[in-house]
Amino acid sequence: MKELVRFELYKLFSQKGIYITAAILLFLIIFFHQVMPGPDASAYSQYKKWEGPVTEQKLQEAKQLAEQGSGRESEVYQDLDLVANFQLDKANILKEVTDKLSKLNDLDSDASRQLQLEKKLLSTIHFTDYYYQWPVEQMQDYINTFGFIFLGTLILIGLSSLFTRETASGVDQYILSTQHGRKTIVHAKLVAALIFVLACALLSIGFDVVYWIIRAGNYGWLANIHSIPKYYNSPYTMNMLSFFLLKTAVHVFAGLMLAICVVFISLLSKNSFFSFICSGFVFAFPFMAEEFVIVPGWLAKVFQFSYVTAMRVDNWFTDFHAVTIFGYPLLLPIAATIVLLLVSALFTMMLYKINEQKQIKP
Amino acid sequence: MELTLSRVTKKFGKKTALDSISVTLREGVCGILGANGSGKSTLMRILATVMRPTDGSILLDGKDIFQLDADYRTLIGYLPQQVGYYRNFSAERFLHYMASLKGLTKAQANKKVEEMLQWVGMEQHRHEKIGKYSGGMKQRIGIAQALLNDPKILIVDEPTAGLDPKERIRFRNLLAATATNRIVLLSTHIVSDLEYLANNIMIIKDGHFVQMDTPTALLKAMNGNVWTVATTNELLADYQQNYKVGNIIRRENGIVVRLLADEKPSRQAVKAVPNLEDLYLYHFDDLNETRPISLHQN
Repeated sequence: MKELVRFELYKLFSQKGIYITAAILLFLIIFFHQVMPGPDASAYSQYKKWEGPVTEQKLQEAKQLAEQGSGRESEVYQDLDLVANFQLDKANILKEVTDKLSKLNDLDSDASRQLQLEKKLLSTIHFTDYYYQWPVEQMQDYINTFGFIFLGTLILIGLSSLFTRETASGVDQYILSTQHGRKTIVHAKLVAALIFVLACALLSIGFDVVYWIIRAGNYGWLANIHSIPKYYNSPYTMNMLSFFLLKTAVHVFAGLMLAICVVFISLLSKNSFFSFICSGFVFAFPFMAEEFVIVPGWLAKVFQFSYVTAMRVDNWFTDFHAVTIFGYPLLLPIAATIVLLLVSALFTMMLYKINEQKQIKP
Repeated sequence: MELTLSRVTKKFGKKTALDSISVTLREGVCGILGANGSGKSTLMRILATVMRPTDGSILLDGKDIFQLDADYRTLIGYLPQQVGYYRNFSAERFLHYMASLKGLTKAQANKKVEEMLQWVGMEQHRHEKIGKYSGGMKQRIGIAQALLNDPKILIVDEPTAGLDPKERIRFRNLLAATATNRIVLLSTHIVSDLEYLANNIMIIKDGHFVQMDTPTALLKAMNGNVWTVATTNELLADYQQNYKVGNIIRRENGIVVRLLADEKPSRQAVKAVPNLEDLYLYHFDDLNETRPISLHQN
């Protein structure tokens, strides 16, 4: 088994296409990063003194400096003001949720349970400190903007020919007639595919972290995610380090699930091109549809469970989303993870079953 | 060890590639003789379990080979008609890959791969990419991989097609050396391969089982049906029209024609000792099928 995995990895990593694609994508990512304006590592010294709990004194001082100066001082004041206002805004949202709850007659209804869950989450949020978070903000934003494209594309290029390559080369006849050519080979291919995804994700995230540390410094891990405007309404409370780790984990998990889907499509496909197109459609369609057309509400909800949404991660965490299953609300990230796991388990079972029954074409 | 095929049928849509083949195979080389498209490869694929029969069963010592699953596949070595390879693999790497698919441990694989590379005379080329090999070299790697697990059932489909005479002789010798204590199934439409190797010959035509016997018995049944006739250019066309004509040898004083006929075709005709080419001609010379002859039965 170990030997077979080693051979599958060799076959996977000896595809020139993945290196060419990775190089092109990294070049483009560097290009887009380079043209994006932003402070360098030395800027931290100007923010450092403002870090920590936001006090009235700090706020007044920052306000005065902002009125006198411009640019950076104004930016600091806005950030401090955002932290200061957050508790007020949170209280308003909590009140809104409480009001909605009180209007509901049936406390055991689905809507009531969802509101109770939202209230519970909101009441745990603690955001009172300011930290300079620009470098880490860029690091975590990379997953949502470039990271998913990088990982998704490499999965498509690397794995869409995992089984079709055997058919095209005629080696499938040998493989299927051998002792391990029906079950163990599927196991080996899956393990190799998952290792491939982990390697690609490591390259992608590693590149991202190193790039931003070199360019802007290693600052902002302790900042609360609510300091980023996108997550201002998020019901989840955590610092950037926790969120970055969570986001990376979800991103890689979704990549692994996509890989299983692509491997499954590869087994069903007659040739690598067809497999690539089908896999590409599964991966990119929800993203393209949401970017370029107005999708109906129900479809947008379905897209929340798509591979691309999971790989981008952000949509799961920016607002409160819950799905009611058997009368109990499940947070969207948990529900979607379960759905992706179930779908992948189904694909995996079918992979084994189909390869067991597979016949070569006359 | 016995492989029993019982009413094995394979259909592709409306086309029947194999029609109710029933036969028992035992240790020794069984040559499957048939024209292109006769169903030889389909039968080989089914025996190699890369294809399933539409109907019928195949039993190995009384057990269904598809039920035996991996246990059966442990016993077989298969060389398909169209040999496939990874172009960027060296022969050594490819054989190691096949060894791991066949369940050999690393130590067993090292020993077997070394042995096979030497046996097929490829040890000098072990590190070269297979994409650069000639057809004969690829075929040698093909037979090497088929034998890695020391199979009890060896299935080789048209192994000498596309090889030059030297490679063909080499391949035949390789196969002859491995034939003891196993069932070897060799499909071909090149009769000379069978002449040297086969203990039994199974004839398949248009997906139907025709007969199976030893080469001697098959040829004996043709005694008195093969003739050589010295003739002229002018009369040659008549013979071709009326008989199944084999070799035509041009000599200084005329032409000698080898043909099949129930009765003496002309006064000058001389009885010839039948060979496997005559047998093939009898069964697969479709151009002259309008004039069948009857063979003597034992």
